Amino acid sequence: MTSSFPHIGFGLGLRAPHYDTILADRPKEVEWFEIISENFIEAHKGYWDFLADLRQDYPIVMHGVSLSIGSTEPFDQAYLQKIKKLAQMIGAPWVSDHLCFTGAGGHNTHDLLPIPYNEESLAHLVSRIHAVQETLSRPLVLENPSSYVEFKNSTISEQDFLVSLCQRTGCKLLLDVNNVYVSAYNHGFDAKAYIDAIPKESIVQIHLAGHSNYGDYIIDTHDAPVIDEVWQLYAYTVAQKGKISTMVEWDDNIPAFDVVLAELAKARACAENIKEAV
Amino acid sequence: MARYTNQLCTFCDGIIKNDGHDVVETIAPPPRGDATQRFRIYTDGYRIRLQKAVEADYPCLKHYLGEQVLHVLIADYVEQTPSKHFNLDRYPIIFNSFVYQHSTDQVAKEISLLESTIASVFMMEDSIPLDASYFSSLAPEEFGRMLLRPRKASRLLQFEHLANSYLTEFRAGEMLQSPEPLPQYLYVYRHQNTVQRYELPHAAFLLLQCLFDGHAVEQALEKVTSGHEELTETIAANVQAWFQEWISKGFFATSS
Repeated sequence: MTSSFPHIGFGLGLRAPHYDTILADRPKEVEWFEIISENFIEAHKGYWDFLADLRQDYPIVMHGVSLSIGSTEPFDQAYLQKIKKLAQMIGAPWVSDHLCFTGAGGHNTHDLLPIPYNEESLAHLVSRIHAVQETLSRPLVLENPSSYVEFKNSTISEQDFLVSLCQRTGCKLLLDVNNVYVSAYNHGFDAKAYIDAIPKESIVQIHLAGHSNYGDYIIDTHDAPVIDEVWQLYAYTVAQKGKISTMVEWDDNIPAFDVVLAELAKARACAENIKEAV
Repeated sequence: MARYTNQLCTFCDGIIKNDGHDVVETIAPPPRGDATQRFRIYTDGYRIRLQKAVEADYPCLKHYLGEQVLHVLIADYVEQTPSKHFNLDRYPIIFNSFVYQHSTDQVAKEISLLESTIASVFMMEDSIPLDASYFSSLAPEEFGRMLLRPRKASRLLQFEHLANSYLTEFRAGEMLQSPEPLPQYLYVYRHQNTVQRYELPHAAFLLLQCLFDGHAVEQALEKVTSGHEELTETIAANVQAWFQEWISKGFFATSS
């Protein structure tokens, strides 16, 4: 089982409105790209050719939204095989998805739904992660989700739940700093304490993104620049954990590529400044 | 495990049925607002997500029906049709069947069929086109015995209105009249990674239909001309040019 996670610098989410610019310019400021796995695993050959072309200049990391690791329904084996095939084709440094479930009773909500965090769900997820890792022949990387509700029968904090999963399965974490901020706001926990609890060795990637604040709650919309408070939390994370591959997500109201590049430059500058300070 | 499974099912059912009654009891009180408000983020998000996905695949239908009418139709579809596949791009494709069941407007049905076909052909499995060079060495009788298969990513369509012309005008941003009630025949297929819409004369459509039903070239020609004697002259005059055009445009797939 592959278990090395190289530091690959600063990357961007690969999104359709930017394909032509990226292919034409091959921007040097971007050190790697992250794809949404589901946008490609069932796509026609032209998309795979596009990735093969891009792969010559950039590492491409795969990020899924449909694994439904928290579900109690059997895995979609065809889905897993498609993920595995694409990961092999593009030599993905790692494959990630979310700590969530996406549906039940054969229905798919196309959302990252929250699960209760307790011993029962922990045991279930441990066995599911082992099964996925066996199929993919590589460690799974799991992202902390943004959530809008917590369950009364949760007995473990999300960060402790994630740490336990890593310890018991060897899986790794994609730490979404914006999601930590969003969930901390929504549930009233301390974002820095959350980050403190995650061991540095478990984190292979960081996500940054914008969100929408509605006063009573925040929704993780990925449709705006990263806010100052999230930049500060990112700086705190880098100061605590050191150099970690970082990428900026922008999935709705996608602006011109230059705007996204500017966000990436901000992330790089933020991390570099911390590095100098340490 | 049963408790955990039930909890997930209840949460998911609450979203799909837009009924948070059973779910709210399981949610811890949030620091601001209440559990009902928080659960509504998921129920609303579900509907917005599916609505946007369907709307994105039917821009011409939206233009024809008007934004509000289409919005209501899609909202009904979303309530009656939970998504079952992980790939959200598949969800809008069967909206076309819903339009056929719930609309009495034949033009709307035909535009939705065309846009649904474009979306599905875009996603279908790849196949390698039969190359023109393959045919150059064939004797006429060998060609007559050939079975010509459609590309995997393809559909033959017929309309009672000029739905394809309407879509072409819509995409060109032209002023649109409602599609004329005239028949239109179309081969929609993906070639060189692009969805092509190739309009066909009636006789050519019938010939392709026979070919794709599994008849050899000679049999297909006989079948079409015997069933439609009025087309015999048209077919005789054009068949060679049609095949040349179709082969050059990658209409047919290799048998592998």
